[in-house]
Amino acid sequence: MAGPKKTDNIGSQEDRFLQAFKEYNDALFRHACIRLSDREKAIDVVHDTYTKVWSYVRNGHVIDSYRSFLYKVLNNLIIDEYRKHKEQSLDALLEQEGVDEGAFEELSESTVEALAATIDGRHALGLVEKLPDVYKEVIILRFVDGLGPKEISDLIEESENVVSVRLYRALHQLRELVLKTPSSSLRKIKK
Amino acid sequence: MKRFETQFNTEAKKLSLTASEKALLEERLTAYMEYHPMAVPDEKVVKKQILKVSEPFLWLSIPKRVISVSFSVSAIFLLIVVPAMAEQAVPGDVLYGVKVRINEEVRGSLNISAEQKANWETLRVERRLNEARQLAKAGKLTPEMEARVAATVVKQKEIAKEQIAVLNAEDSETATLASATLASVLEVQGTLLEADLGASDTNELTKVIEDSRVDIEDGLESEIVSKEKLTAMLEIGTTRAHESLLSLEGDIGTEQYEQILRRITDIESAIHTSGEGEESQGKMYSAWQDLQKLISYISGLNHPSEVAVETLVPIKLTIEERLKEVAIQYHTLEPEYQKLVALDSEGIEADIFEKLQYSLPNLSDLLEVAKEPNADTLEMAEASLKEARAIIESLVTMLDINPDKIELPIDNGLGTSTATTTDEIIEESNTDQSTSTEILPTIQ
Repeated sequence: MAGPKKTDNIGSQEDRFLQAFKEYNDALFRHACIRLSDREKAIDVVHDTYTKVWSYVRNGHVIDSYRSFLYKVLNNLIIDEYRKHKEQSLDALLEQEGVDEGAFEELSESTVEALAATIDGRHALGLVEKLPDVYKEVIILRFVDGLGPKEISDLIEESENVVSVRLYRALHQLRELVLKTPSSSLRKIKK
Repeated sequence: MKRFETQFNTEAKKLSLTASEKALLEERLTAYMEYHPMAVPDEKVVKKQILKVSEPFLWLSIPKRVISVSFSVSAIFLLIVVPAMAEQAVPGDVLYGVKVRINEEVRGSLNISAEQKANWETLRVERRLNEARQLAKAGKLTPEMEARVAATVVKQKEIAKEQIAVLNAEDSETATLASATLASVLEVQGTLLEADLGASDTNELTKVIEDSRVDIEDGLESEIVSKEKLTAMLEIGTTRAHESLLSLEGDIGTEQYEQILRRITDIESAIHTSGEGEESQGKMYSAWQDLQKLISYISGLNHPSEVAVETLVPIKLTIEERLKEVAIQYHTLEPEYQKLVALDSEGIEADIFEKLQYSLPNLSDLLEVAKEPNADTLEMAEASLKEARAIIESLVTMLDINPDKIELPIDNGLGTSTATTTDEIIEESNTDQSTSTEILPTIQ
């Protein structure tokens, strides 16, 4: 992730920011749209993401990696958006699900892969919105944005083991939803 | 998972911003950026502006270390090298202004007491006169330059006088000595300059110097300076003279070095043998004047002169040397006296012979005083011999005779002879006249 660093090479910072807009605006929208299940809100959140990053840059800070920084800001804004409407917390979710830290060590990438292989991806996207946000977050970051476990752990500020557990649980729930829900009744996200 | 990921991703990619949404988003963001421009100066823009304004100028990037070293070197050059070079400058040189208006002013500002200031202004007079000598030696003392130097000397002399007057208000004894020093400096440097100019007639500059000296000496009241003060100042002065002379060792000849050293020793002897009373104070004051002349002479040796130190500061003989000198003088004059006594009237006019006879007893008395002098009768013996010489020379002139041709009687006691014949007497006189034709120093 970028470390804040003062610089006086201002012109190139502006250019880099605009380049980052052109490069990632679509991916950010996609992410926000899936997580928020609302196109208009997704556009607003993406707009807010970029304005926040611009405020950071205009004060002389340098961003080493726009991609990770943009996703971080976007993710925080999405969480804020959720907190406006939902009271569900991660701790509550973990408590509800009874996450055993000892189970973390049992999970691995191969376990997650094995589970994902059993899910029909074409139908899963429409059911992701039904997942809790913490699961939705990791699913989208992993399978839509293409971030690896380490990148996701940096972004959400959790350990890689927690990320793996969430991915597993997210996929598990998603699989159950896919199996339960007929494809004809899948709600489409407004395009 | 790859299959799931591919499928999931493919479905997700169907979610994207439309062109209008993208355009609107970009427009909103651009507007936000315009309303919230960069908070720090846009270096890129500023740089462009600088280049536009300063294009005719070459922008050099000089390391800080180079600048600091250059500054140090420049400071050393300006503060040390240039002032040192300026010390050798004379009127008309580029650095002369630095010497007079900077070096001397800085040195003058370091003087705190009135005595130090008076001494410094006297030294400045000496410096001006030394410069005149340098110009004279180099043949650059043109009438215009001479007038300029003369004006400078007078001006500097007046400044020194003013400073001495200020000193006089605090310490009249020291002020008197300072005046004596100034007068000595003018006398010595004037003599040296005259020798450097080589003119038989005194030129304008030397006249100005002499007039300045007289002006200073007119106001002197040497008797107000106590013997104690003179003793202390002489002690300090002789030390300074020794140091000045030592600094010239190797630069001047051995004989000249010894001559000067002898005179310093004479002055030191005068300090210790001065005695008491007014006469003693007079001797000490005279020693002070000689010392200042000597110091000024030594300082002038940076520019060699044909003037011998004897001209300025005659040697002071010791008691033993003076007694020896008296003995030599006596043995020179006594035979001449005998020659005169032996003369008869033949070939001499009667009135001249009468004058001769009349003078002989007086001459005898004078020689008798100088016959066996001691320390107590030394001065009287010297004075007697001086008068006896003068009488003999005038008698010889009057008689128009060659003393060498006169038979000289042999004197028992001082020059006693056992000869009985004239030839023996002549032979003995010839033997004894080994010193009669020697050129002996005149007793002063």
